[in-house]
Amino acid sequence: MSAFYFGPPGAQLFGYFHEAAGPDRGAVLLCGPWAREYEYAHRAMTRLAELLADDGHFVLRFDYAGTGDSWGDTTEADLDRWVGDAGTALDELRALSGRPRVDLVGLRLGGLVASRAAVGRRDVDRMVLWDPLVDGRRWVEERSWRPVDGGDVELDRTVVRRSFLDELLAVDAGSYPDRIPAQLHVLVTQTPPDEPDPGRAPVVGGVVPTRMAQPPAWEEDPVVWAGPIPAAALEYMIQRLRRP
Amino acid sequence: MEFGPGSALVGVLTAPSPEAEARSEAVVLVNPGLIHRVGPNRLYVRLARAFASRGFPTLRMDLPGIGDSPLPKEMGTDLERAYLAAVRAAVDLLEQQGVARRFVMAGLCSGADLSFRVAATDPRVVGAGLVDPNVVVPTTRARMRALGSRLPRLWNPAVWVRGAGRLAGRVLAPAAGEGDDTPAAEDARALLEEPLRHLRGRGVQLCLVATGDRHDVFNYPDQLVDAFPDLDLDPVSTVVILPDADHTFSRHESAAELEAILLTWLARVYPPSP
Repeated sequence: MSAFYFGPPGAQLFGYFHEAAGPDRGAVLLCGPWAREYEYAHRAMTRLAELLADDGHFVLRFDYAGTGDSWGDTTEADLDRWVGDAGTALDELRALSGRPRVDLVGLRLGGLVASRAAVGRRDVDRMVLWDPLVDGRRWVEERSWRPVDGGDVELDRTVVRRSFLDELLAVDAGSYPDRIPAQLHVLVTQTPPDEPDPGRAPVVGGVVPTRMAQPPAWEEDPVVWAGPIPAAALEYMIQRLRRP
Repeated sequence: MEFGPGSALVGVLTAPSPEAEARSEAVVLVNPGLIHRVGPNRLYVRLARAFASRGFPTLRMDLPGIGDSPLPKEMGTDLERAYLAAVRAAVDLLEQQGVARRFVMAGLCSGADLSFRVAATDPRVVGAGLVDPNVVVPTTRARMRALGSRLPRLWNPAVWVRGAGRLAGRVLAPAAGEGDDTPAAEDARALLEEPLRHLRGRGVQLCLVATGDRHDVFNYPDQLVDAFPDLDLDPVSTVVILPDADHTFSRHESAAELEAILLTWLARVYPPSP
């Protein structure tokens, strides 16, 4: 395992590469959430990467530009740029692992980033969208935001451009590509309490989601001041990404 | 950076800006709670970049079992030993690589507590930036100030309507019959006094920042000196109270304020190297 920086000089991305430790099963790129969801989900994403590596996958975790350990300021948040970052990370993972094809996991906003990053590529086999963000307006309304100096806004304790807030407000199921060029799995562990039973309706990508009640990895467990690790959800993803 | 046994510990070193004046000290930031080295709301990234812009190389490290640093099995559940060993490994590496020979520990919450412990045990540490440490000594004056800030609630008629007796009990309970000799205060004093005496003897500089979320136990700038009147801490301590800030500096104005306080303190007590 190793921590490193990759990508263009002056705008480098932080990555953490997990070597495969089991029988060769391929390579997986993890696309994480944003803001406090990123902070709290760090534990679960790290654990998922470790378990996938133990199962035989090469795994790359990375931070989008202007987030986490990557270069840049929070005001550089931009969905299109992050889709490009995910593409850069996919190429980096192929080079590091020596595998020509890769799988993708996207959590929350990372689900949207991952699905868009796969468009136009022919090297993505499987994709798991884990509680993908499909209601940006609700997401914003459930958090605090306020204008700050310079026309920016502080959203979920992070200063961003107003344009990024508008991008988030516009996110819905239609924001996802019509055709995701990968074998798609959608995992939903949280259903909003005021939402009627969604039955077996697709959430995104025309795929009936798998639903399982699991603690939300991206929310704070007040006892430990970090996110919980939803063991069953992680196991589900490991099974879906396991090649014969 | 990957360091320590098996190169398993992870940290990100922010190099000093080429334009900045050279400094002899490096800063080591340690995790607050279980939050990884980025800190709450990316606070640690902000601080590291600010310190580096003034010439202080700054390492944001993950302690064993947090973020990307695993907890070695042989450490069992002795987290304090694991943490102290990890920080020692980080400081060793920075010293071996010629980054610095003098160090300033810093952290928020449990990161502040650990920073204090490391400062007390490693002679290479010349300063500690302690933000909302958990272990503080609440003096009588601090308790009175905390009580005073609650009393106005009792003059609110709506409060009485809701049950003044219940509220009064809650408001008064923490102070009733308590002075600075309560078990909690004495426990804290026992934990802090000898290390502080040792730090004072070495001339280690301390910067203690307390937010509004610590108002009940730490709320005025002279509190550290008052709590340990025999130690003559005034020449080596800087204490700042930020009543409008919360514990995770969730508003960017608060984060900017903390950055300015720590940066001013660092630049004042550790001038550029000749």
